[in-house]
Amino acid sequence: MDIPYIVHARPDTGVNNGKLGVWLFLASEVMLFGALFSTYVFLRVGASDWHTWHSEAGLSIPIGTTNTIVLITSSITMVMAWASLMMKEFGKFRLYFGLTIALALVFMLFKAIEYNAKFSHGHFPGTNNFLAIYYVLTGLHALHILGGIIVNSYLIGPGAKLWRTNAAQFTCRIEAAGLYWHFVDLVWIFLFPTLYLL
Amino acid sequence: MSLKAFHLFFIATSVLLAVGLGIMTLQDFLERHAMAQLGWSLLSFVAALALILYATRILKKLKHVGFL
Amino acid sequence: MSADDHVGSGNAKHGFWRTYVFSTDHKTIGLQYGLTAMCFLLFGFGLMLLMRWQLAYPEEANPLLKNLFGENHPFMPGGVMMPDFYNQLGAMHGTIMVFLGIVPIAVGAFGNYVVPLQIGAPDMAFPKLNMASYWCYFVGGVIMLASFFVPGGAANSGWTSYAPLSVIATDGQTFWLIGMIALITSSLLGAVNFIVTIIQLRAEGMTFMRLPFFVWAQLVTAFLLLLAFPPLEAAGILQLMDRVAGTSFFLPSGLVISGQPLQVAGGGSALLWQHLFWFLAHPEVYVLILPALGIVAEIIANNTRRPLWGYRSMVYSTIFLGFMSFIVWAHHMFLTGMSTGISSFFQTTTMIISIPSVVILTALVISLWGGSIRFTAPMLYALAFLPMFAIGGLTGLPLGLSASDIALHDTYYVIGHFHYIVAPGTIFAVFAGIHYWFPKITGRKMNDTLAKLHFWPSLLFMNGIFMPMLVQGLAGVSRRLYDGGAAYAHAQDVLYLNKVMSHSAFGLGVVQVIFIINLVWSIKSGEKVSRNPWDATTLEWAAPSPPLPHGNFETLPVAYRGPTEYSVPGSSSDFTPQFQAEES
Repeated sequence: MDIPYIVHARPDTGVNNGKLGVWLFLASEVMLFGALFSTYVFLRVGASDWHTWHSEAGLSIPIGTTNTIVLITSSITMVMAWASLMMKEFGKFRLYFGLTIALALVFMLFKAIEYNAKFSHGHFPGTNNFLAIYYVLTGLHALHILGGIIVNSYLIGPGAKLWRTNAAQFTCRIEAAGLYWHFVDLVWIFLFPTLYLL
Repeated sequence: MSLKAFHLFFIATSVLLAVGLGIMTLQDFLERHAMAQLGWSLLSFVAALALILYATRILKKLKHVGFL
Repeated sequence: MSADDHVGSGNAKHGFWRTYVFSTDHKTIGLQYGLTAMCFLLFGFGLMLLMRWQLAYPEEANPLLKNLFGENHPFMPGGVMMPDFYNQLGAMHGTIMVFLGIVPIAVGAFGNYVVPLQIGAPDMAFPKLNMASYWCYFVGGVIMLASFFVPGGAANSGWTSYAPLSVIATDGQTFWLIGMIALITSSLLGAVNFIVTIIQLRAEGMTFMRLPFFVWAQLVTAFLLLLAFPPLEAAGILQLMDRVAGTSFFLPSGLVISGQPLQVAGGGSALLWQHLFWFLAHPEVYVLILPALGIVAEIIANNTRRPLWGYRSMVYSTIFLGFMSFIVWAHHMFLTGMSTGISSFFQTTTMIISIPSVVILTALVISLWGGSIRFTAPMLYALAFLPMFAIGGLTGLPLGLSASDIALHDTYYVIGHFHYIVAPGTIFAVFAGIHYWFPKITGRKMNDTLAKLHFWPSLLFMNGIFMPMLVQGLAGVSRRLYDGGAAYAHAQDVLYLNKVMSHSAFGLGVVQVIFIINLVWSIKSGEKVSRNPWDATTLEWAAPSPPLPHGNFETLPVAYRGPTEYSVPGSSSDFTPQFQAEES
């Protein structure tokens, strides 16, 4: 017996299994990042010289802004990829989805440059608590980006075979990947001002 | 909530971020009169506007897709 | 349903590995969870027996283990327990019982096996995720066990791993943190799966208010796991950073250890850990008890032959309980120097959360009234659960009031209180559930005489262990003493109770053998029974025993009525199953 509602929405709940599952997972992710943001507030309120730590760390606002633009763009290409699938244009999907992955790699590249600059200045997680929470928040976020890159690479590579056998299910998968990707980008929209600007 | 709905929410948040950045740099310009800050401020507002325009277009394009 | 919906587990025959080890069938995974968790429960209980020997006979050689450990063994040289080892046992007993024993058996095992059957689903919504969830749990368990063999032994800072002690502890703590991250991942995957399954895969006609109470309990539990565990994951990551990367999230400035100032940046907060930890661990308490309440509700309805009294109030209470459990966590921290305003807030929410618990328990007790009770083996455990849970719950009230908590905090009273809820409470419910659903799993009943031989001494010994704890706690004996209070003047009057408790614990260990014999013997030689031996009403009894692999039912059942339609007036039998179309 097969599991129902994998592709089509259950009439009385209005969603299919995958979409509900991804949203529940994202709810738990909200709690994960929420706890870390709370930690940030807790530490900052209790700290005596947060501003000194912040300016010593010398985060590069231009790099941060560039990465913000990169991620917003990648979200747009992600939606374009999904929209292309709904219009049955697989070629366009490949283009936009590939762009999404490429932009994620650009983000990681900038992140690596940033980390490298910090390390070469002797700014390690143990240096002070601002750097500690900076590394944990951005590091965990970068891990999420990496996870997204891996899953998306699967979906555009071997996973794309599903398009030929079951286009509707493949579109569902891309939507789920898109939801996750939007969440990761949204986290950055909050991370960027919290860590770089405030 | 479909990807469409989440995307619009995401764009709305990005607009807020851009407007916030614009206000922050504008305040900085008014205090210190650094011309570069004015430029950044204008850029941010333009970005916010561009995102809003984009959002209206994508809404039209994805008219047939539900929000749930 | 259109053609492209058919991409589920399928009925294909699998080989040995896919059938028994890396299975995606919810029933196999449920049994895997159950067996693994029972092994861990036994192991965690064994750790406690070692501790109880030390508490009753401080620093005397354990006659059974004298020859097992050499004269120079770091844990128990010549059978005499070292204080460090006692701390390891304490921390690991708590961790293993909570995260590797009770939660996996109550949620992983019963939830996995029974929930899809009770809602009339062919399997869980994400079978592969279900398998991943079990194996994450398994890996977490292996890491926890492995930590006993690293230099310095396992984690020794308590199951709560309070900073800064845990940050400067031996390497076992790092293993503990990594193990916890694996276990949390497992719980998260499981929770997503349960919620999607219950919301999406309900059979035709199975509306939310026709769900058996057990399913409701599992649904709320899954939400608690989903939303409460991530903050602990965050906290675990932060503590791991503190230990491995030299950060000081939980290390305040100017910390001095053994006369040496600690060389870290400082500026962190030890209280931050407690907040993050208890934000998980209070909802966790309800994760331990809600599935137990669900099991007991099923069995009580079945054995009183009448509907549950106040089903709707029970459901709403459970949901309310779930919400409230997120805003009571700081009642574990009354003595940390919080402001009285915050204390009053958490004291108030704590008193409020006791209301839904009492509503549920009262509904269960009133359900007995006027029923024609069948004293079957599962019913005995379920009946014993009620007063035991009541004692556990009521002894919690003085702990929830910040004034009386000053005297009781960190005494044996606390241990007695929560063990009453989890040991004779949840574990009795687990025994009840095993006896109740055993016929569904194997097609055979467990032996009634052996069950009674196990039940009565267990009940006696459980109380023999935990009742004296309340007495000792009221006398002010601290819960963390290596010698059980022998060195303290104020403990002398109640010191004899240590022997009562320890001998009860050994007795409890011995009678568990009866249960194990019954379990193993009944698999092959128990009395063969029909697919609905208890004359029960819920959907799992419509499936063959055992239910069909990958699909459960011959044809998917339809729910025509509420879950506990017993003794319906005018009906020909005293039960009307949910899956029975119309009264003929």
